[in-house]
Amino acid sequence: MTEPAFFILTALVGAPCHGYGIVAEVRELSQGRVHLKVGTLYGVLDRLVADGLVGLDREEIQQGRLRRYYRLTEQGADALAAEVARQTANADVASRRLRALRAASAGGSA
Amino acid sequence: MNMLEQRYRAVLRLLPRAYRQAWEDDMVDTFLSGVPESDDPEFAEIARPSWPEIASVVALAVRLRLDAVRSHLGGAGASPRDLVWGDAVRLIALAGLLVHSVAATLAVANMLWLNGRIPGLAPPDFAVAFGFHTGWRDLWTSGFVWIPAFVALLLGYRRVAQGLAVVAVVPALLNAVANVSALIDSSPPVAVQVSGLAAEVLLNTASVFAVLAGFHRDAPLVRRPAWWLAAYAALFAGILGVEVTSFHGGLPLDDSFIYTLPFLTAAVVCLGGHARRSASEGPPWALALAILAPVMLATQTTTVLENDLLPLGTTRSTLMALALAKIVAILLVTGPLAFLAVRSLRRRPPAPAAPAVPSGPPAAR
Repeated sequence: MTEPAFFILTALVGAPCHGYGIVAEVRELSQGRVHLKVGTLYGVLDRLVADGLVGLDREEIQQGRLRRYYRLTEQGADALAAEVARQTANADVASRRLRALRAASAGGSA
Repeated sequence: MNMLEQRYRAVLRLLPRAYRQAWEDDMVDTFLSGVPESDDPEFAEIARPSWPEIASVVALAVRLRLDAVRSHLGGAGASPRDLVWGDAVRLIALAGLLVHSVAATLAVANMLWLNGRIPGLAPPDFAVAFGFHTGWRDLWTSGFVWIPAFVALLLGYRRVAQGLAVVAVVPALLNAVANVSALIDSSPPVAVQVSGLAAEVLLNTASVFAVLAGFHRDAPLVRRPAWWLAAYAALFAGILGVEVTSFHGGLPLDDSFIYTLPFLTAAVVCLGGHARRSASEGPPWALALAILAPVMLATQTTTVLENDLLPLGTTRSTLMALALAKIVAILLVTGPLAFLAVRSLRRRPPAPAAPAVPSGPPAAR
């Protein structure tokens, strides 16, 4: 799963969101690191919709323009949970190695 | 609709029509929501979408159009006819990388020989006399990157193979650019230069385009990679044998035989195999070879034009006779190959009316 897809799914956890809401949420979740451009957002969103991970919640008219709200599907929640488990396992392995390295360095320098 | 919205919609015209119908209004809303000043008429009159926003739409347009091409080359949900096209394009990619790899291996082996780096094989006298030395630059121009690209494709590392193929084509295209500059000096006739340039570009870019388009994420892995490796070894041994024979007084050879000989061999095997089997077998090979035939003709035509510049003599006559014979042979096999390919394609159902671009989200429940 790519980083933009991961953050888009995370942004939709809990509440449906419209396009710009997702952009703003992703920026906040990533602490300003991931700033999705509109073309990038929809390039990921269309695939998530096609794969059934994201669905349409509702459509509204805002200032004369169509606004769609997207929601996370059950399949999307499962995919996100699997990705979180994978990343957590990876992070655990790396953390253990780093702790061991630091312990060894501290022991060597003592 | 203010000017900023109009300008953004103009950028979105880069996207395929079906995609715009599904997503355009929502994209516009998302874009304008990110520009709070867009409600100010004076601001909207002069504002334009930023370059990064335009670049993101361009990237999306490129991806969608590539996806559309790939969906006709055996992608998800492809029709039987598209599956044949996909197989044929992948065969062109594999055959192209195979021949380029063999040519690069021969060039590297030749370099090692000239440098006296092959144990038990003395370098030629002229190389010793002139103190021949080849380095990394010569290795780069020899096209050796084709070899790892070919191996990566066989091992199923699709993305790596595509990246390496793009890198491998660079020295060949640089050489083509150098040929264009030589056109200005025009020591050989322009026709020879133009023909050589076209052949060079076709030979090198055809396989790269085929690797990029044919080996998409839905493409199957290379079937029988061991068979392709055996073909590599056999082709290397065969061409080396022919070159050694020629060096020791056999028939003189032109540069294009390394491409045309495998092509003609594959064509004869394909047509022979078709005569033995049922008509439904082997259409991807016939289609691939029929597509490659014009490339082979361009290469061989260049050889004929180049041979025409040689001084009159037995060597020139022999080379010219061989080159013309190969052109006739290519033309002779191309007709039946094209006939087989077209007939087998017609017997398969065409592409279904499935959308080539992602449709919009399904209606809300």
